[in-house]
Amino acid sequence: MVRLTASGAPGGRATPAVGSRQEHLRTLAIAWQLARLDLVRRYTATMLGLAWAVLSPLLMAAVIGTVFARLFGVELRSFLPYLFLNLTLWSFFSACLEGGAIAFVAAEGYIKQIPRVSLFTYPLRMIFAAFITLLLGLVAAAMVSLFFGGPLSVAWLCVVPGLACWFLFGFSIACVSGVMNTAVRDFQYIQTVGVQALFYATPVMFPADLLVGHGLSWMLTYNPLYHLMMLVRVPLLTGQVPPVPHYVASLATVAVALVVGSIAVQRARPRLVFWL
Amino acid sequence: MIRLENIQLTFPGRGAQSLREKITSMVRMSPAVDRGAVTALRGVDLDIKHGERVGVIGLNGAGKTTLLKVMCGIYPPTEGRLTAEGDIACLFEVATGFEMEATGWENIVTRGLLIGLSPREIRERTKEIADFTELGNALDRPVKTYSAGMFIRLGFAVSTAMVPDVLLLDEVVAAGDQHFQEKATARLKRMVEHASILVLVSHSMSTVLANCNRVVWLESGRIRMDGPAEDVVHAYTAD
Repeated sequence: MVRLTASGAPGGRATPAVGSRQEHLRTLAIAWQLARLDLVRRYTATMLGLAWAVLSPLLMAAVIGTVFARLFGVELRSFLPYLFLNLTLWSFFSACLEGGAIAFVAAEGYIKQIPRVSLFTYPLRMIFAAFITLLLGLVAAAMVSLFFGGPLSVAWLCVVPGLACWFLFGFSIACVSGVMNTAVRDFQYIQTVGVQALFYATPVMFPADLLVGHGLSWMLTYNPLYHLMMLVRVPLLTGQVPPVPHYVASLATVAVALVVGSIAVQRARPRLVFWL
Repeated sequence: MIRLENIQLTFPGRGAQSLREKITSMVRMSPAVDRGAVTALRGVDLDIKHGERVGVIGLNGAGKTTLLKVMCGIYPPTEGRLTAEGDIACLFEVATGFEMEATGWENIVTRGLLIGLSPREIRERTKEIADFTELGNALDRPVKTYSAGMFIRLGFAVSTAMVPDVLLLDEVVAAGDQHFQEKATARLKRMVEHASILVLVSHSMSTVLANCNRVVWLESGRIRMDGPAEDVVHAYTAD
């Protein structure tokens, strides 16, 4: 059993106790600092910089959109914003898993050398960077929607609680992915395949109605990602408040993810340093 | 105050971790045999009080650095109980753990936060830290362009920017060129004087005798002798 207690010994600053408010603030500050470096590095390495956060899903949406709109017989002006928004959300999801997988491995130098840094710091770092990219993408998606005549509505405010769900969900899955991949390095590869499969099972590139039309509506009901996506998509594209069932499903998903994520990190805590 | 009660530390071997081993053990319905496991510390009891200056000596692989890492909380012990109070700073391989693409300045801030300085403290101390490294304009460059010696300068300068109650020190830390080594030694000396507890791992008996009043002699992960510095060092050199 380990007990690290803090004391206000004369001349020294007390180290914040584990689980205290200062400890959480410290975790946030470190994660933000690391994420900032990641973002700066990512966007100064290229000529167009930050614009890529928007350009890459936009180009992809344009290419896929022109083909698929014809394939599915839907109108391009409603399909393109739909596709763009979906791809932006999806790239956040996969960035959380991919970033999460290497969160602890990439922090080996810190974990093995610097004591008393919360393990949650490292997945959080990955999430911060991915979330900023998501926000930029959403601003662009909103503009694309407006450009194609989508509604501007007060219901857009519903995006805020929706994004809070996405953030917490992303953080939790990054924790799980990080622990799993540090314990068993094969996990990354299994995860990549799983994400790919999920991509085709989730209405990202095709209209959700397509599944309903084929009697596969259960694939929507039991897909937590579908409900999470609806929290952002409904207000942004239709200007309406998302239906309550999507909120219920999303909150349940986030709650389960948070519990699993924190248990994974808590249980790994006594061992993780030896897996690196 | 640092108290270790019956501390045992076993490093799991890589074997128990691969998917193949896990699956085989699941099929055989027996726990995976961890062939690579190494027990580095066995039944270590140690009670260090305020004002004590403890040297840790022993052959390579005796568990000295591992003991230090358990004390500061990096290695959670497999068994036993650790109680540590006060602000702890530990100095091991300071030349690792950088953001390679980030500049020297950015790494000062990052590492400062990690070791427990507040953003305000970092702002106040950045200049002093930068001066101490003597890296000058190189601090504007990404640290991936640094030489080994430059990493040591940067890592050492930041890691020693705080004044801890408890200082855990691995002697190899003060490496680098002659000039920097002298500076580093002087800076460490100041830290040592301010700390209420010092634990120093060293192979140099003269360093241990000069800085410590108590010495712990480790052998194969066990404490072979623990007592007044002169007595233990004498017994160790006679062995």
